[in-house]
Amino acid sequence: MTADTITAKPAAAGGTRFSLGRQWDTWGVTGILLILLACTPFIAPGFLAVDNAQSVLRESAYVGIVALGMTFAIASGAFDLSVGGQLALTSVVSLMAFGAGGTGAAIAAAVATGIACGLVNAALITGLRVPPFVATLGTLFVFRGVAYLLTQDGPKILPYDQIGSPFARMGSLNVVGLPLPFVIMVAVFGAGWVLLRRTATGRRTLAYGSSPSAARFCGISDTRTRVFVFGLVGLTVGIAALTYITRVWTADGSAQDGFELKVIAAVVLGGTSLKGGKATLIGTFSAVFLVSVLNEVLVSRGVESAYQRIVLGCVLIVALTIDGLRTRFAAPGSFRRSLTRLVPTR
Amino acid sequence: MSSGDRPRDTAALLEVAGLTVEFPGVRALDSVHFDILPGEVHALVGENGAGKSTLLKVLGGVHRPSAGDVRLAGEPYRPRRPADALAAGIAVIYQEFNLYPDLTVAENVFSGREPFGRASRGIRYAEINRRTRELFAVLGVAIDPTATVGSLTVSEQQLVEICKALSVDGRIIVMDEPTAALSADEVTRLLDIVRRLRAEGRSIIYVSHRLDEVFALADRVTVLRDGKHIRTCDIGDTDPDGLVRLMVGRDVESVFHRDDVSEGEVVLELSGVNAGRQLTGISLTVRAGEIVGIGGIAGAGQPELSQVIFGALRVDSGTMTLSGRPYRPRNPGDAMARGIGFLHEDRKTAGNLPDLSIRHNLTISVLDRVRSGAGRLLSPGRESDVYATYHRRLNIRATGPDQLIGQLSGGNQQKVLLGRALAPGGRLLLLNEPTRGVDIGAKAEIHQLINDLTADGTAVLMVSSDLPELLGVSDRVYVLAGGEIVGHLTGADRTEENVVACATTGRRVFSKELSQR
Amino acid sequence: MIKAVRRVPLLVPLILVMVILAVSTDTFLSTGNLENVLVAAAILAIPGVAMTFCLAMGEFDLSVGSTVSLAGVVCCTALIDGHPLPVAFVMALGAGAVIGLVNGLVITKLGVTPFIATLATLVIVRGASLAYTGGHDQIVNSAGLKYLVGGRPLGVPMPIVLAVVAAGLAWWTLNRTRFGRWVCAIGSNRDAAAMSGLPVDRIRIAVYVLVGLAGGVWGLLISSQLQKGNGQLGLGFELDAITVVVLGGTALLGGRASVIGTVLGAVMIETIRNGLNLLNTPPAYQRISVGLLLIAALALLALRRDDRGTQPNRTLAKVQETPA
Repeated sequence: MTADTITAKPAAAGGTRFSLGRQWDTWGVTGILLILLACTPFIAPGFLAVDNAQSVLRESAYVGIVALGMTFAIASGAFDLSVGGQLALTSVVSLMAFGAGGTGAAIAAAVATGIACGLVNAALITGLRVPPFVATLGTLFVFRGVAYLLTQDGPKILPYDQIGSPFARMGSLNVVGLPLPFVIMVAVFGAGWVLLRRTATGRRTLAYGSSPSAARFCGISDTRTRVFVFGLVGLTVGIAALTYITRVWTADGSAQDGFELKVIAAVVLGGTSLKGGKATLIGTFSAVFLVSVLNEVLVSRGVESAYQRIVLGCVLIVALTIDGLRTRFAAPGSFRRSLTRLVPTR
Repeated sequence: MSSGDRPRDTAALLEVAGLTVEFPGVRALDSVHFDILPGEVHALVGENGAGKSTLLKVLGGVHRPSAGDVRLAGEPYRPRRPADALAAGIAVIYQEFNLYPDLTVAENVFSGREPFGRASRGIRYAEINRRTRELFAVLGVAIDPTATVGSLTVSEQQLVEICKALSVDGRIIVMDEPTAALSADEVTRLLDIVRRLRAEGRSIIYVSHRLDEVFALADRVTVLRDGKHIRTCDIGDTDPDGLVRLMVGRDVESVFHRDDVSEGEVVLELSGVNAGRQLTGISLTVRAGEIVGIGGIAGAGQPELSQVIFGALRVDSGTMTLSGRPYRPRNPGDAMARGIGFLHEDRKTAGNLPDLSIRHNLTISVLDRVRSGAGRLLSPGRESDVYATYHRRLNIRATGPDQLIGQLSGGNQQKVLLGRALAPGGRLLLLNEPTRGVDIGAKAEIHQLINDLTADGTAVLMVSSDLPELLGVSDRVYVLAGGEIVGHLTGADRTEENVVACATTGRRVFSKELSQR
Repeated sequence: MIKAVRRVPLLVPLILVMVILAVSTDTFLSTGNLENVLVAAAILAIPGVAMTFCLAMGEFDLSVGSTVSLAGVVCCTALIDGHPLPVAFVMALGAGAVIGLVNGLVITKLGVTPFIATLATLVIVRGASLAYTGGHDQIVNSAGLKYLVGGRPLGVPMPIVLAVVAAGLAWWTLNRTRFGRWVCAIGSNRDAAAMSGLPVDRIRIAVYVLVGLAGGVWGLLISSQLQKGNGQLGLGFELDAITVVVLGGTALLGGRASVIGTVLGAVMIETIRNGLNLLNTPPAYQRISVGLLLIAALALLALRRDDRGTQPNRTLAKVQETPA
């Protein structure tokens, strides 16, 4: 009852401030990225050199591709912690398939394995009705474990005589100066944008993330949404694994330890709210590069990798704090809760 | 017991003067004064948003006033947190209970104030269980102190809240809509308990929408409107109509006049439908152009009935037909594809999609129809057309299609959701509490809208706990009790007395179906 | 008996696994092997009972694996630097407590979702412990440190003594003291706890400090076993700690907790690990086993929830939650 009065009345006053907030949600991280890029000549000379820039784009691509899938997951109100395990498993399976059947088999295997992993997650979550993050915490270790199992005799490696093959060069190829993985990432984001903004499935995902119980009464199926979201994460992992293995040419169970954190950090930093219902693909896109440019700058200043983890963790906490503050003070529904919170509970 | 024989000069136990509470952009209370005498029941009434809850929360130490003075037995009373209010002997029982379902009754009653052993630090369970039992004895009920609260019924949980208030020896017990979720028997018992508390010399602030309770119980009544104090008077000095006038600030026509409509084909027919433990042997019909009301006390199965028809609850046995064809929806999507629209009674948690714009909130139920082109992609143009249609038809007041739904007033939110329910085709509308939590003006508009819809041949099944609405808007009324149909009222049989009698007593009224109206 | 099984549903599968192992291997029932299992279970039970508090409150702490590493590293470098053993222990436990405090403050004061906040501290602390050691092993040879795992006061291995004390204290605290009941109260209905004036934030912080401390003890035990500390210790341990609690039947979303269940969960995990070892399965299977166990435990929870479906709705929420 009280909530009604409070949510209803500030409508008039909220108009302008709100749209400003929305602009920040979409473009804020992009702005920070541009400022950082503008500063790099002074703090890290040589950063913008063509080959260095190409390497940053290439290195970021596989994180970015999965971050697209994760943006959908978080917008639907769920997490997928298992993407690191999925990436390891998908990479291993794909390399095995390449050995057996060549390029086509490798691509098909990567995509199929990724989607299969996603479907396993979806089945667990909808079947057992448990919070996605606990279920995917379990599957993270299961997927990694299976990857270990497949690589007991040593990491899967691209055969030496195949190093010159088109498949092996995919990861390092440049298309008019742009690395192919980056081009794939842009294409994936383009497709993702259409999916999110121009298809019924995308709209239903947002609606489900905004209010699962209301979505149910709009005829949106819980199971189908979960299957779509986790299947999509799996698909993006499959694509990302291709850009990853064609660059490093090897994979085992320990590949990309801590990958889930990089991906989630990029999505959250980009401005997609953990509460679900909202997604910003431009934000995710920029945040991926913000993190890797920051890392690159740190490397060029001679900062050890151990400290880079610390920086990544801190950036994530800052991003989450901002997200928390924004939802606490901007979202109409949570206003009353914020008032309750302001009362000291000591 | 009237307050006429009470000496007027009794010192007030609690005095509120010039109380103002401001939230950013809202003045929830504006210089309100209020007082309560020892041993009286003081009712607080007002429409949604009048500021009742805010006043309670100030007393309960949840909100802090921007200005004003609160005195308890002459001393300044400034609770900084809920625990301060309890310590001062003011116990507030909110509408949403503050109970822990996983803990025992006794643990809940003494939460935060458990006596414990000095050395072992262990809670003295024997003591709290005994004291809880004693407190229940005062209320004249027996609830096992070691049972977990989650296993109790809603009314038992409410008694636990009251017991909690007694355990701090609350001088003032504040109850916010205590009967909202209770059955008729339980309401009677609660009113007895409130009288018992008054007899013990405690003061009770009783907030309720149900004026019959207010007149049955209260010594004095205070009316709030738009955060302002309107009037305080002895209950004998006013009557229900007078109170309603004060609450809404103008005369209202309480009964809606429904246009006569011609009777159409049978759209929906249920026969012998059973669903879980909520519904047994439901048979009913809804015709095109007809508004069928579903009444009954809370928990009798009304929302479940609408959910069964919408495919949100599974049917165990029985048959449903839609326009003569067998109809068995597996999920709400099936129902929507057949042109059935649904309005949930809980707008906030199961209606609004808070992060989506009004336009997207509207079109979510008809995404298949706003697609175009080779890729079958959503077309913003078509979405705008849908929005424009309903914006005009439902008279939605908003700054634009991209405004978030949460920024609208309750009535306009409800219109958007009504539009969403209408969009799948409008063959049959299942409306749960269509005017709950909307202001009087919007309520009349929504009633008019529902009326107009049926002129186009839409069949409407409306669940309402608001009796004037139920009887004024619908052509026929089915009454549910315990998941069964216990009454079918048409024509002159549609009276409040019949609905209440069917719902709360064993009486059954089945009017003959009228073939001509 | 039936009541015991109902309260600790893990009992039946545990006995089943033990019977299978007793039949299929010669060595499982040997005293030495059983002691190994129990010592390993004891080491896991100590952080497990602390994590029980966290889950009882409806929250998670993912950073405990990194705490193990940092505590081990701090203790070993302190010993290498010539500090006496008690000082090294206090420093290690202090490091654990500080991590817990930081978690608690970030979660309560900055309002960050617990599970993501601790995911971030997981990485930060791991980075800190790698940075602290420069990536090198800190090898020590300390009889005192060794005593923590190898000692046998009254003939009972030290970890078992510690675990029994920890479990006893935890059981008493969780079920019989105000603090424990408040933890369950917060897990049961957080808003109500705040409204009734419970010191919610302080309790949450205290629980994170408790988990941090337990992570510190775990780190000491692990480095006592290995006689070294490094930045790689405790990788993935958070899964073990959470799995034992979930296996033990503590509700995932808070409110109810079972310390005994957690202890049995630890015995279960270590029995299975030991069995996989005895049956000569490749180490990769052990990695999978814990993840699968967690999923199995979740399935178990789902089954019990369906059981309870016939009882009155335990939530006080007004929305009708209706499974399709």
